[in-house]
Amino acid sequence: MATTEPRTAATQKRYRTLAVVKQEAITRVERQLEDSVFVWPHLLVREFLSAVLMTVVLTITSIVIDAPLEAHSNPNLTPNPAKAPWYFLGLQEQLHYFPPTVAGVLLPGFVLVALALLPYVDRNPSRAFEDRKLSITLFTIFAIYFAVTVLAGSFFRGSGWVWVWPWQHIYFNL
Amino acid sequence: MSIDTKRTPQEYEVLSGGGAESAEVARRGLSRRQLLRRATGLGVALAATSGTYAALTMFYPNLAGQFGSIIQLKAKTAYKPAAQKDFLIDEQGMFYEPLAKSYIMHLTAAGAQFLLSGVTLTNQQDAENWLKDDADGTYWLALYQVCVHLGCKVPFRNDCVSFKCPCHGSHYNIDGEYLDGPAPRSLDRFVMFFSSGNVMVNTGKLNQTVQRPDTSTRILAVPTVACHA
Amino acid sequence: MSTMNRGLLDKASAAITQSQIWRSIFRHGYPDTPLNQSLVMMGNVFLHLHPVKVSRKAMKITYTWCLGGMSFFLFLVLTITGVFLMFYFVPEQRVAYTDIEQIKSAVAFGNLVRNMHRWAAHLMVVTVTLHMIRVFYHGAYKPPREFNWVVGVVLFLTTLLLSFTGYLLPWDQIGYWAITVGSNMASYAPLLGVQAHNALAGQSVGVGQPTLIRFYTLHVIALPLVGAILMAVHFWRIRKDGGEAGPPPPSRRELEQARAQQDVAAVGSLN
Repeated sequence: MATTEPRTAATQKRYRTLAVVKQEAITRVERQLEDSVFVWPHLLVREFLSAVLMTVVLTITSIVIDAPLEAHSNPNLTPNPAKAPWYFLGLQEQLHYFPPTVAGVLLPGFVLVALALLPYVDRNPSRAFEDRKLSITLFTIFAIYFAVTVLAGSFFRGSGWVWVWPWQHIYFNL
Repeated sequence: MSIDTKRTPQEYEVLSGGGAESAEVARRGLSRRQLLRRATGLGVALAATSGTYAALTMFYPNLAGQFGSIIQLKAKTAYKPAAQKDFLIDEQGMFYEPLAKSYIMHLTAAGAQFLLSGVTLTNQQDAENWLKDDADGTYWLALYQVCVHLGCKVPFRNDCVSFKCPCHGSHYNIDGEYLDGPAPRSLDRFVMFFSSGNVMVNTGKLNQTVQRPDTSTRILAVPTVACHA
Repeated sequence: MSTMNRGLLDKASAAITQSQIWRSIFRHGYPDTPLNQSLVMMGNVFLHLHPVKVSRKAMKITYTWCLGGMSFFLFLVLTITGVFLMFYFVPEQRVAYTDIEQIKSAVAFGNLVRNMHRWAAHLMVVTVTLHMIRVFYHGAYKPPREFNWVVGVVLFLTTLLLSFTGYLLPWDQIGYWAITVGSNMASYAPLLGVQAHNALAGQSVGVGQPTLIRFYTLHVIALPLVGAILMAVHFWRIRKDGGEAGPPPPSRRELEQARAQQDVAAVGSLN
């Protein structure tokens, strides 16, 4: 018994994880108290009212305006112009200028991937408008460009995708 | 927690989280908060009730034009009348209508071999849903296709000039009257009428009361041809 | 409380809320005390998406405009109205169009429900887009919320695809040709263009019955399922990433100014 005890599992000191305490929970004791309110009722009332408002607006709209239903589909008769749903009319406008591979596949694909990668590309940690002039400018240009192309495709394009002013005729369907 | 105790608004806020204002109104019986709560509850209940009503109404099938409602069939002229012995399914005398699940019988007045006469005949015909067309004197009848024995569809057999059920051999005359077999009564029939030259069958009104006929109630003469299974 | 129980309504509501049935459902009192306000948020499966307390600034209507919440609400509306439309719609090219006509004319509340489905779908594309724009301008996609932004981008795509697949179902001219053009566009994809088109349309040329059943299945089950799962992740991550971001904090210049003022004040107090 004098010298070395064999280090078996029984004699070894064993540990178990009882809880994981996040660092911020123990180090930042003097965290500033946030100006917070109870979700019930303050937030829930707002959510409830916005849901009620939405329901009322939606119901009244649906009573007043009928959803469109065109003639039965006819594979031998393409309507002129044949327009995509409004949110794709920006792309359809691009199709007017670029080949389908670019406007129909690469461009939307690039936009989606770029949007998804945005937080990993934009390394600027500040959220203040003043510190983000570049990213805000770029995004605003992008957003306006797409809004303009959607509007152009929706209200300024007629038969054969020629430019038609909205006061001449509106070829638009929801 | 009693709200009658005098507290400062701050104390009340801490203790109940309800706000000093509600402590004030609470003393006057129905608090504003409670009124608001009940009004909201009532509004939600009303919305839920009307929503449920609309949901159930939408879910419930619209039966118009389906079996179980009044069904418009073809024009009268599409059903060629025939004498009793000359009936041919879908050609003359007897016509099958799948939508109404019925056989439409169209019998000429001259070709009918009535066993009854006078008022007895007309009374019995009324009881068995016969319809006399005043224009040409022909007789109409809408028979339900289902055998009253155990529910098989009864075919009209040209070779028998009558209905013969393939399941258990129940045998009915061209007007659905029981001839032989296990069936407890004659074939069931619908109410039929004409509307602007079209044949209409009310498939919601089924007459299931025509008993096995005896000599006093049998309208038509039995077919002379033998009918083998 | 006894002094308040005067009216019949009070007695009735007291009897209900004190009954065993009620208390077996709601294990706490009416949420008008801090304890009950916490219990209701933690104990209710529908409410526990929310925290117990929320920052006053982040909650302001003029900060969020309720856009994310409205998108979710519209998704629920679309699910409910969609289920009711499913009772009457058969995705078969000979009857699909007449089914819609039937829904419009013969089904009780059918026209209303179809209109609601259509308008809510368009509205959802709008609210989701605006929500995304709002989140960008507030910089709420920055760490630690960068993954939730990615989830949001996929949800945005899911919303567009849901709307697009629903477009074909009435089998009318507008939907038929929109999908004809859309699926032909897929064939211009590099490398796997033809395969993409065939997978989407279910046939090699044009739009037909295989396309209809594909779009229908995507529209009523596959995409909503993807959306629902991603939404669960999205909402979960809002909580796990520290709740709503709230209005942007002061800029670097403003912080420096404040620090300089503090220094001046400190120096002043020393003198």
